[in-house]
Amino acid sequence: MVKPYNYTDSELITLLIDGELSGEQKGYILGRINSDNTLNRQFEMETAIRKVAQTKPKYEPSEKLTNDLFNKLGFSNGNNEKPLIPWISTLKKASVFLAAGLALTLIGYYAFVSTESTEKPKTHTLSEKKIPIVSSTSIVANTMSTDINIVEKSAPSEKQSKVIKESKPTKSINKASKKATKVSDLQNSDYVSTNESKSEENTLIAKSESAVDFASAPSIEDITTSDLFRNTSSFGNLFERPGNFVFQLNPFSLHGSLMDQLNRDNEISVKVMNPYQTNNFMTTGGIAVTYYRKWKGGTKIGVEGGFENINRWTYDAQSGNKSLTNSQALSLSGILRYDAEFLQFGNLNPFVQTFFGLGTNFNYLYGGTIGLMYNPPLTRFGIQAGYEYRKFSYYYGSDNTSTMSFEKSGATVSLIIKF
Amino acid sequence: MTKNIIEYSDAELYNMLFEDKSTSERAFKEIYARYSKNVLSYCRHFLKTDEDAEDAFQEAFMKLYSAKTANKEMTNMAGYLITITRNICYNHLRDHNIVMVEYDEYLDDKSEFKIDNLDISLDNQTIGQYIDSAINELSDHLREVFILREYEGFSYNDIVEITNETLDVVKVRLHRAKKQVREFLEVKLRELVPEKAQKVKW
Repeated sequence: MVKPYNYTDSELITLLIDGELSGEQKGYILGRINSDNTLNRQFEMETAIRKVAQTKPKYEPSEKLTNDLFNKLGFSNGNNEKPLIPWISTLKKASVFLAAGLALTLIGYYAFVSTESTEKPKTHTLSEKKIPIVSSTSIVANTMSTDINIVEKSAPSEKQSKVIKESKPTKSINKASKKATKVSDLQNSDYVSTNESKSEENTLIAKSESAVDFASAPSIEDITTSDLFRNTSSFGNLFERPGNFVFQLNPFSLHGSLMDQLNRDNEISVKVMNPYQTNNFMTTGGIAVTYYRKWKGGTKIGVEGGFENINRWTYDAQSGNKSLTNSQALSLSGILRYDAEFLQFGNLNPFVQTFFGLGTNFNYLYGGTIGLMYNPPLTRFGIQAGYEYRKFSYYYGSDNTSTMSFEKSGATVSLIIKF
Repeated sequence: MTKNIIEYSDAELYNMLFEDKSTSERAFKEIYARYSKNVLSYCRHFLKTDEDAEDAFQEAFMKLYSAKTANKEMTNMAGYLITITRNICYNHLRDHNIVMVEYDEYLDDKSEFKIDNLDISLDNQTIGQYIDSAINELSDHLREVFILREYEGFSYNDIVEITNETLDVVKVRLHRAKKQVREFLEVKLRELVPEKAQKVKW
């Protein structure tokens, strides 16, 4: 056999092991290896060296070494996060998302149902006298500058019912309101707002441009402030179950982040809250500044300070007046957020957060948000959608001994701006 | 559906280094996760002390991040990183006046050893230690190609690119390096075998 090229046999063995020989060259050197003990020993030795070298574990940077490097580069400490559950399959992720969506829907449904009894004013005895409501809100149909009278009844008398039937339905701010102000719907009303006060205590007038709706109130006893909220907040509804459940799409929530949403350790965001409708008034919403800091894994802690309009029922124990007051509240909340990175589905990342805060004009607030954040790494924009629930507690009576609460909840869609 | 960060190619990750800080940080960390072991192993094999190796290791990644070049077509991230690391290691040797022992001198004294009929059973860890000892005795150029080929698994062409040498030079150096390591091993194996031959199992 002719020796190919100018390599020595020893060199050809090296090239053979490195896979650098052609078929002809391989045939030649393999023949030589089989016939020459020295070459055979070289072949075995180099093969063994290759095996040992390639199976030898690589040196792994220590955590300290990595952290030192990242600190020098101004990075957060730690390696790239790996999925907490690396074995989770796409199918399993999809199942989790499906289950989460189902749970979200059920939570939303039962959250509304369960709030009926808890929000009923317990310190107030229903009577048949008129109670003026003073509202400073000027948003709704420009009628909030005038007083609105509310008549409370434990049960409508025959005469009252007659008056109610004679009163005209008022113009509503939304579809649900129109439905609600049908005379038949008002017969069982607990609170009815009007633009005009009449002296007769058994006169019920429902003429307000922003009439209170009781579309679904099954009985007087079931009317609560949350009913007022629920049954009037049809703005932007995606769907509505007649009765209690309103799934609300709030398209006006803008979430502007000063930092990229990817792997952020610090984040400052400005959130313009959508104009919620509570207690029959559409508030002017609010604005909040939020600071998040990455804590552990996908967990972030944050603090949010903001301004928000809230509508409160208050009760004067001496005069018996019950007022619906629009107040401007400053709030400061602590936030705990968890981005479930192990459930990350492409760039779709589920998150859940809870918050608790204090503020002026209310005692405390708490709530939570669950949703999905879509955040592609190479774009300036992302989007997140979720379901947010928040509950405010405040003093109801003038003696500050009793509290009431109201809730805001609904689906939110936020635009994430990364810059 | 957009890809997860771990699904991005090296070239895409390199381009992400020019994005905003958060994106570039994430991309860098992914590159780090992929290649830090290779770079550190290279440094540990190339430089004799752990401290020197870790310094070179950190410097290499800092250089990757700070000296990134826009519009550079990144076709071989591993080779690029090792090239950076290699230069740092050479600079380190030069700055510290470290002169590696030339294995040739050592080899000349021991070349008469033969291991015909030697039959030894040794675990890979011990052999690995012998190989480490052997490559520490190699000259810088031979040690470099040996590490790149045997430990890092680079192809001949990659090594040509990294070392900026010709293919023939790389082949010759690789052959010499392997020869010297092999002979070093034979010496060590001989020392392990007193009189009687034992079974060799690789």
